[in-house]
Amino acid sequence: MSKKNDTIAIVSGEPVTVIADSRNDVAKKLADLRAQAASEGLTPATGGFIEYNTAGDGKFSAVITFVES
Amino acid sequence: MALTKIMGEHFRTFVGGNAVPEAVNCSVTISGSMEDSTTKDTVGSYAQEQMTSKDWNVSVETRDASLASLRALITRFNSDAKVTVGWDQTAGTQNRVAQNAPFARSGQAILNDLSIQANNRTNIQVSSQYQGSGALA
Repeated sequence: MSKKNDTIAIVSGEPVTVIADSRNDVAKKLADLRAQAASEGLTPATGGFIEYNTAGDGKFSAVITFVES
Repeated sequence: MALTKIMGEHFRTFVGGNAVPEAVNCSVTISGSMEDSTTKDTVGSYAQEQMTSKDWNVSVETRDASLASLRALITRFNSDAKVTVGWDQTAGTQNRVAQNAPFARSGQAILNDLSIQANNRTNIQVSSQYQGSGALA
């Protein structure tokens, strides 16, 4: 079975937004993003905070920005 | 990665998704209103209690006295608008990157208390308190 490729383009200095139905799902996506960024020589600069119900839809979201190490 | 024990500087509050800048201290309070539900049917002498409502608020004190931040705070207070507020463990650049610790929580809150302390020849201290409105998750 092939592994689904969920990687997205991470650009230094540009915020990346992740949205999911649960806090754990957002945390997992953030962890994947951090790992991907690290492999590309990027480190988190700001954000990463998981917000709840920002849009009034009961969803969890986070915005994180990476910069070159 | 979350540590098993954290120091106060790594526990930060977030407003609008960002760590409150130049914070000096912060506090989080979660409480529940209790009601005595003891009746004549209750066996024994101990009272029975039930929680009728839950309440949370976040307060933070900062040395961020920039014109932009003061204006933003007063505008926020006047607007009565809800903003996303929460807390998390932090690390990284300027100690502002959230670490998604197990105790991190977030919710909608209203800025209901703003205090600006400006003494002669000292840093201005700005205290703000956010009253939670709705679920904390």
